[in-house]
Amino acid sequence: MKRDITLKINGQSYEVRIEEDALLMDVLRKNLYLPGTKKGCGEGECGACTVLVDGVSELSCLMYAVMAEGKEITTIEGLSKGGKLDPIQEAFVEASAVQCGYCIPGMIMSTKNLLDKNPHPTEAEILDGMSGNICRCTGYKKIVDAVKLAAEKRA
Amino acid sequence: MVGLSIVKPTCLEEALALLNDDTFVIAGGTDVAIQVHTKPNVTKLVDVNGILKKGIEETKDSVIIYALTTHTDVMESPIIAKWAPALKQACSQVAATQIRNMGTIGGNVSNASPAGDSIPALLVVDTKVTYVDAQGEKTIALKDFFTGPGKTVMNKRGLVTKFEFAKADNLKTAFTKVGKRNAMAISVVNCAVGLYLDGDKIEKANIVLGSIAPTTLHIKKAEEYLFGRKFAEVDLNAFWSLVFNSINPIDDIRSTAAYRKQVAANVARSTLITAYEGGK
Amino acid sequence: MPSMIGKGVPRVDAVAKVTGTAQYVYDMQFPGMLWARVLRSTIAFGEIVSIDASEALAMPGVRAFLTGKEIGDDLHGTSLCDEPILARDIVRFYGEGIGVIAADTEEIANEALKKVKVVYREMKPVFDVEEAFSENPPAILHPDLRTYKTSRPPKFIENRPNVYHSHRIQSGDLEQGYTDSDVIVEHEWRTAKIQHVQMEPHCAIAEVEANGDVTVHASINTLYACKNIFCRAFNLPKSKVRVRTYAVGGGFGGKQNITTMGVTYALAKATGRPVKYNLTREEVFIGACTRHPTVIRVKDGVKKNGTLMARDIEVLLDGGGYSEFGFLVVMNCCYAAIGTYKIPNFRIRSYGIYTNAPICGAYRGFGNVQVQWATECQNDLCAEAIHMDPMEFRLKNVLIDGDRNPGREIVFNNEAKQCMEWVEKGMETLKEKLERKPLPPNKVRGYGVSGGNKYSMAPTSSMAYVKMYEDGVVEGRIGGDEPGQGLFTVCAQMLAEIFELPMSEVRIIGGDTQICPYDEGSISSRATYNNGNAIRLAAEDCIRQIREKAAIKMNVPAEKLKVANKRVYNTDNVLESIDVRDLYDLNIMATGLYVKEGGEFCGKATWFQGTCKPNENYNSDRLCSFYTQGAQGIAVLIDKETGKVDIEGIVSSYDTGNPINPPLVEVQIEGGAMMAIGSALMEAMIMDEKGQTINANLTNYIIPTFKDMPLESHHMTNIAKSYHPNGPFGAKGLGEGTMSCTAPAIANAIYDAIGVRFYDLPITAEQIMAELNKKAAEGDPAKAKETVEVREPATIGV
Repeated sequence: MKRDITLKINGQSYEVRIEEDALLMDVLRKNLYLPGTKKGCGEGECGACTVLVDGVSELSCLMYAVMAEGKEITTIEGLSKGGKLDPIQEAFVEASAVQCGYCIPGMIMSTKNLLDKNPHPTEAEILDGMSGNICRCTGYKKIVDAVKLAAEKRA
Repeated sequence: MVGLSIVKPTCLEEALALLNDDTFVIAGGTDVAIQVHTKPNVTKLVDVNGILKKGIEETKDSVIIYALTTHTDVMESPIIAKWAPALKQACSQVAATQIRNMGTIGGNVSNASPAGDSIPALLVVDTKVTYVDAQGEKTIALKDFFTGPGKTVMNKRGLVTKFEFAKADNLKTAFTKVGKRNAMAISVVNCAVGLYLDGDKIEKANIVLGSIAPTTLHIKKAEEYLFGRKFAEVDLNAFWSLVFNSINPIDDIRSTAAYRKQVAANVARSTLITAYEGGK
Repeated sequence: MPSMIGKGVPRVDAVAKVTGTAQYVYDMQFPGMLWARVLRSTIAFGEIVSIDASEALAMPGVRAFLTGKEIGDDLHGTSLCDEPILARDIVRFYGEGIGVIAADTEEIANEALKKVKVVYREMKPVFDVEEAFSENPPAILHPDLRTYKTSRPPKFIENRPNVYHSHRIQSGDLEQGYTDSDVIVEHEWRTAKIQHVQMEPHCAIAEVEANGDVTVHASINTLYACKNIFCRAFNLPKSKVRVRTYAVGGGFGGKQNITTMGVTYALAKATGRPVKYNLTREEVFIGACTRHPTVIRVKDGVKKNGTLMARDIEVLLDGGGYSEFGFLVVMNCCYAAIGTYKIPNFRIRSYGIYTNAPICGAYRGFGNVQVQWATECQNDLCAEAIHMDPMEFRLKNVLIDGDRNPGREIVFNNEAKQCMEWVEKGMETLKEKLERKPLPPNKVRGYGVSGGNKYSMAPTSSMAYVKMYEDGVVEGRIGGDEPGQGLFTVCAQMLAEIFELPMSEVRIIGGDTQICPYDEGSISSRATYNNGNAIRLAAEDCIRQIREKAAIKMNVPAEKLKVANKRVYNTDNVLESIDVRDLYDLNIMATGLYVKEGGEFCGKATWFQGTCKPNENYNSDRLCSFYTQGAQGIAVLIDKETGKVDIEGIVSSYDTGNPINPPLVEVQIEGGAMMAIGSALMEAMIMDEKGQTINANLTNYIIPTFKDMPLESHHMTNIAKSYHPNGPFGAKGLGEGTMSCTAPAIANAIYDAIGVRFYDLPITAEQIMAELNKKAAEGDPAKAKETVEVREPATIGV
């Protein structure tokens, strides 16, 4: 069954016709051409598809798009404003926290969720706050550095 | 194209009328969006966001957690930290942030997974669950709610609306989770302990283990053994043996029966000590 | 201009990756594109009697269905051609592709797959590698093996019909070595089947034009190898095929198979439309590539003074249904044992063996990590047998420059000793930090060390073009891949260094066989060394052209001229210089510049790394490009109540030559350690009795998370001082070696903590509890009442 819905993404409204049971992840990637939100597993285990829903990090692979109607969705594409990187994005660049990069949009969205709630996290809080995002390249250490640097930049 | 329809009822009655064996109730979606892949009979999801309540309230004598309260809400609540620290610990060890932001307590309990982490922690504070079905609203002890893995007394025809437990100044609790890694893990064993104390005497004990039986279990013999005993007089090895001999877990993809049996007894003992010495 | 070498400049692709604009094939959609899904076998071994897709084809939106026979490919492989794109008559593992569907959407294709009916005639499979290796195996996977086409002749073993290749390196006299030894240490070691779990699953999009030109966009980590194997499989001329890669979301050796390219090409040809195939995470486990499970037997002879006198190794590599890159793994895993230690009497024999399991191929380390799992644990056992400190034992036997290694190579640029000494000191610091606080109850701590190496393949070749634009910006084109290691960044740094330009004025183009020259891929830790050398040489060629042109313009001999910062300088008179623009002429429209004769300033070069021909024992002065060396120390904390192992600290030192970008080197070292922690403690693909992988998902095949790593202050990473004489700016390579030390160091640390030696990977909490129970029963009968029988993890009944 097709359904017409309106999604609010990165401050803009999108009208889109979707299968009723389409997942938000697939709608973002396939219908709206916003592939910054990654698909890594489709089963809620890797965090690559993390987006902010009303300011809170959620997994777009476990969310039906129809249930996201009326909510403010923020994706990685909505983070940098006017060509200027968000301080979190800057921190990931400067801390050499990026390798293959496929997990990075999700990592950045989780960092935003963490720092919005807890601007000065301890290392243990960083490890906990980021642990829903899997990276296979970096060994995480430099991502922890990036989160610490992002916290400093936002202070 | 599983071909699911997703309906959003506007009131409880409408929602209840939609429930049958081929529907799933969806709130946070963290379990449902996975389970639909292995349940081809399910054709309809009933979205209860908007008709159930969310939030934690404190009354004079009790704490109320509404069904749509997320794991994150619970772990960040000062009320829970004060009156049920084991529940805070349990919720903060569920999967990871995103799942905790999405998944609801009502969903975790209704899903009735034997490995669900919030369940033992709710049981050790003697939580009562309120649900509605066609016959109306019912409030029962949570320990009587589960009938099997994925099965509850609601029999797919009801909706959990809230949980309530009494505030007890003399209650100390603790929670332990054993997973295959330190985050994003499904419990191989989990354990919660609640001790109602009169000084150093145990007035009543709740010893609850998850992932070792078709449902989360109170270890009755261990609870009876502790009943009325001073903590200093508890023989921890005897307690260990009582737990060990009370359970009969199974092999599955995550672990072996033998490992679970031994580790369940070990963590029951260590969680008991933590609850008494460090718990609040 | 400050040097760009050794600087931690940001990656050239970092901004694209943090903004979500980096292009990955998994994300791409083309107009009119169809989606492919592969039908997979539900038996491990047997004959395909019939496939009926009529019901699927009748569904709206379904555009084509092809069986393996209809794909129209020749058998392919890296050297031994044993593999079809999809199974034709025989399926050889559970989950093997047997047909492929194209539909308007991925969802329709999924539904259509369920409607295809397949009839099989099952045959008795073989899953156990030792049974498969035997002279009378229960199943022979490839009865026609000896008739397959090959490009490098396999070494078969007479009477062992499932062996697809074997290899041997030998030197000295083993029997004499054992006679001269005081102690013999002999054990058998095993590793499990594991998977790369690249975050971007495998995928490809194929387009076929009316004239037959083929373009394939794919997430692969060996651009030209995949193109060449693909062309051979479909008998396509090299000039008709263009393969493109973009940002590749992780490789680790696991994106070298052409299945996705093959099925999308066949469907694109059949439908006239672009066709895309994205693997699901489940398919990544069963339908892509895995690491060889191994059985490794090692017999060591040691003198009481710590001299390693003799080592004999036999390696059985469980290759799965097809040889793929596993053909080369059989040969190249042998280098692991010759890279780090002096062993006067030595032999290693390896065997690649077919079993009815998903394909095993290249996986970070190319078999060397498995071999060193055995040898580096053996080193600890040897040291213990003669009451010597494990690191002292290693240092006593470590190779230094000028030695000959057990393959009789002349050793040079080997900083293993430096790495080991750094780790020895680092471990003291780590211990001091960890032991400040008392141990929590029921916890026990242990420390372990390991050495490790990884050779890089040779002979091998890379090519490059380097072009200067009229605005002075310099572009390098390479055929190397960027699966995340940072190749494009280090090559850009080299260009910036050579042309004395800031990073913003140089760029690297890669991943397109139509516009980038030949390379052998981001494999074998070879990319920086080989692409870097090619870039360096091509840059020199470009500069030669600029200087020759400027010499005429400036009337100064070319050898006196220097190119820097978009200008050409007279080195005899630095005040005399011209802008590079002055080397061009203004066109008649006055809109642009051109070079009047000789063409654009465009350098090209080939870097070739040769070897010395090995003798019959595979001995030679030089077998490899270089060896990455390393050492690592690990601290573990074990919970005696749950058997759980936490990694409390990691101390790493690796010799990667002169690091071009030190933070990129560090992040590789830290990433390799993490991947190896997974392999040591968590990861194993589990098959049921039918050969079906029952944990082909990230819920039950678990890999490390943030919380499984040590705290930053307990995680120390060092890059050894080193300079490879043949490397670009002294650099070598690194990617694979970073996994070589970790698993043995963990096992050695566990032994230190609880006195139990584990021989098989992964080491699980269940196994640790079982061993602790055994010890408790032996040591303290009173404790035995808490002992229960603990069995191996279940493989059935889920």
